[in-house]
Amino acid sequence: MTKVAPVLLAGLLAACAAPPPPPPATPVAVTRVVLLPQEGGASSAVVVRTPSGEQVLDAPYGRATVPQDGRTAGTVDQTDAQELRSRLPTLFTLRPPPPRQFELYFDTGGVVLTAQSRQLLQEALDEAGRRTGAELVIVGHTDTVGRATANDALSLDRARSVRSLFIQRGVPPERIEAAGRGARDLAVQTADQTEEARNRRVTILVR
Amino acid sequence: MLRLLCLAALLGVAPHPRAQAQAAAPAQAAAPASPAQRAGTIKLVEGGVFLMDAQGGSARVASAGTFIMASDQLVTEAGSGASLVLRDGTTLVLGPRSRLDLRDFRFDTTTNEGSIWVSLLRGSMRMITGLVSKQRPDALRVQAHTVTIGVRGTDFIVEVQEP
Repeated sequence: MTKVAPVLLAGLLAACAAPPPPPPATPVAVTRVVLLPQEGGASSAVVVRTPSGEQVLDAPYGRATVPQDGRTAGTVDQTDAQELRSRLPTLFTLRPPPPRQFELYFDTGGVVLTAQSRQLLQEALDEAGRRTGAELVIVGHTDTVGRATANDALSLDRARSVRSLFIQRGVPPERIEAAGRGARDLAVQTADQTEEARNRRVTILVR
Repeated sequence: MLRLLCLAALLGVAPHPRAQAQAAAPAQAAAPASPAQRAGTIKLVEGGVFLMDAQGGSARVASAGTFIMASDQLVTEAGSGASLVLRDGTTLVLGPRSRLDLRDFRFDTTTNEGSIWVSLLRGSMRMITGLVSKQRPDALRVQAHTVTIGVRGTDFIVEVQEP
């Protein structure tokens, strides 16, 4: 008895002295955001906002990890291409090929394509045929001669005339979108009211 | 019908009575959307990928060329994935076991103004931004649970990881 008591006492004391056991770790759902490098190396950034503050990612492969319980704004560290490609391969393999663009030009003031431009129609068709879920976006442009509203209308007319050429060649109409940008996207910067053949164009985007 | 029920079970939702009615009436199949009505087009698909409309009722199989509308949700099964391009050129790639809600899409092809709101409910996605956010960065809203992401001309990944 006298031998057992000190042992018991020591055990009790030890139990009292020990810090309370940590609560069982409850894993929290997290949201991760990773900035990928811009093509061409241009700088870019994303801002990750949470109820508790925000983190800025402005270097390629910067990664924010934010617990969804909203108690903290989370942490920022770096990951790399290899880690992402091995863990999330479909985000890389299923990226659609970049769109391909064709520029068609018009005889002055109208909606008649130059002979050279008519040949590009076939190239655009061939390109569309190589893609799954292909679509054509046809965007018309004008030079700076004339009023803005008239140029918006003329640019759309140009796009629509090209669209109808594709429909004649058998492309389903719902796969072709025509738009007119007027003189908003000049290929060659000019003063207002300036004739410029290189601005009278239609851009075909195959994607 | 059986297929719809299996799909509904898979996606964890009860089929809406109206969805059943729609499934039973193939004559109601929608005509191809005109270019201006759709928000985007599915480009590449791997495995099981589905689109659900805002009511969560009618789920349809998504394949290359399928149109996606504003307020549709895109859902991928395990081992699956999909990519789509919105009308403004914004590219989205969805990883496996993911669910993306295209909450809003508006785009004016003349001015390039518009607004895009996407919410990642589950899984992973990659976004390469397009004309709407180039015209006005704040017009693009990307959300994942409590997180919102402000974008400045970018290619990025968002991932929601369950515990």
